[in-house]
Amino acid sequence: MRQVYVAGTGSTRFGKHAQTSIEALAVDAGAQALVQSGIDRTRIGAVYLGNFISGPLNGKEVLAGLVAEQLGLTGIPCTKVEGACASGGIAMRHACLMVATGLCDAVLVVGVETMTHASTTEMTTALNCAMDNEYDGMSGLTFPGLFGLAWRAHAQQYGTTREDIAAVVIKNKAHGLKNPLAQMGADLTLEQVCASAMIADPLQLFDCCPPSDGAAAVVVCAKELLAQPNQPRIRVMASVQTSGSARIAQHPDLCSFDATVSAAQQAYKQSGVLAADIDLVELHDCFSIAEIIDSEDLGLVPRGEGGRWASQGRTGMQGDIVINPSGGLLAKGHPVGATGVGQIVEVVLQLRGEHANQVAGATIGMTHNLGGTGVACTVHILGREA
Amino acid sequence: MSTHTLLPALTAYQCNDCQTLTQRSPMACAHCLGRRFSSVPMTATGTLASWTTIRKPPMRFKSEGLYHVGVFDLDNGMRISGRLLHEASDQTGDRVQAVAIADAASDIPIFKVTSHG
Repeated sequence: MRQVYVAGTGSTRFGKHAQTSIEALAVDAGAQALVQSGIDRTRIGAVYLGNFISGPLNGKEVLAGLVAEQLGLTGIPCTKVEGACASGGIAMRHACLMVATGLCDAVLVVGVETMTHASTTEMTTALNCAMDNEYDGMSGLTFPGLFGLAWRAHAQQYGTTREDIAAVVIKNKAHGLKNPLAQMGADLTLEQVCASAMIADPLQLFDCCPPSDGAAAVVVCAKELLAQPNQPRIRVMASVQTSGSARIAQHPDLCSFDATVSAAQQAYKQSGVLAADIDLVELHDCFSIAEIIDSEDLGLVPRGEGGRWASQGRTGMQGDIVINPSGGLLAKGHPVGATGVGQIVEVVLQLRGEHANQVAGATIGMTHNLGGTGVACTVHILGREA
Repeated sequence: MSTHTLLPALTAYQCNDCQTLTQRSPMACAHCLGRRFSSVPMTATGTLASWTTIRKPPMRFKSEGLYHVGVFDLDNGMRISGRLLHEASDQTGDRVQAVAIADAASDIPIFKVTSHG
């Protein structure tokens, strides 16, 4: 297998883009990535586009071909991939596979979603397409509800408190204030978090990521195509995709996602990197409790300690492991199909030393993108070459 | 605690070839790929693993207002999701028993706490 590098990145700000079409957002991010890569478009062998609900919310499909055509990429395979909230990460993995196997020398990856034009009920209904609607969906469960269940179980098993979980919200919202791509950074207090509306008990409004519009893109390529000699080389050290049960009742531990545990173990093995070597992680904090669970599942924090590590500042900018310096989904926003690609963009900026909320001396970063009820998961590890 | 008639049993589906139990009738058995199933009675009692209150429901359930969804560990070892008739004193680990099926088409059971764990 060939080594795979990230040659260029692009992103819109995540947030409300009511006047911009979903195709236009994707083209904006894709054009940025292509130009930054310096790679001639004739060398782009494929396009993978991550998107979840452009059909139900926009009445638009075949986005990969639509976007590629507007970027002047014609006649090549253009594929939309869908894996709920992990759609973007899956698009990235497929692109890496194409380069690693030699089927393509360079591939464009785009993630995109527009959601903010929909009502809360329409959005909840569309997002629930990612649930097993022959089982959990029929009970009336929603995704905030899924993480409400997980929160209560985590509190029962490990003694995790409201204050512990609020520490994740306060940290990520503060990180978001420093990130120009983020939708809603904020300087929040514990009292403000605890006073926000109840959504799916014990989950409150500030524990939930906001719906967003946005797009992100990267160009991945073989080493010989890297065309910017003055830019640090960012290598994809691991690219892993796994699956888990789509039904909550098939999860033996409500405080863990098997797909994440498996993906992380495979990623460490593939890269030769240890959890202790990771300088920062952009992980899937769709809800505050999810960050705590993910950090434990990824092996970055001891099992059951995620809440305490957050409240002790051990996951902040000066902590043992820096989690979501971008602000994460909680502050940066969660345009579902764009999120996984946006995480890659964030880590690349960190490894180049160009991030607005820079982790000092970062050389190895991880991304974690989780879809549905843990039914799809990707983990990537990226490293800066000396 | 609320007064509801307790159901003596729930219905499960058992693979005729390998006897694996599932909550709802599948097209194929995930264990042996068998395609013949029989409906069998299954215990209606267990413990409350966790629950939540849905305050922002999807379109289909919007008319219900808020409602409670739980995960239940049945006494036969099967874990299932369903509705919970929640009371303020409920805690994870409490004993539960099914009291109704939400609607015939979905087979979604409704549980209530019968004793505190």
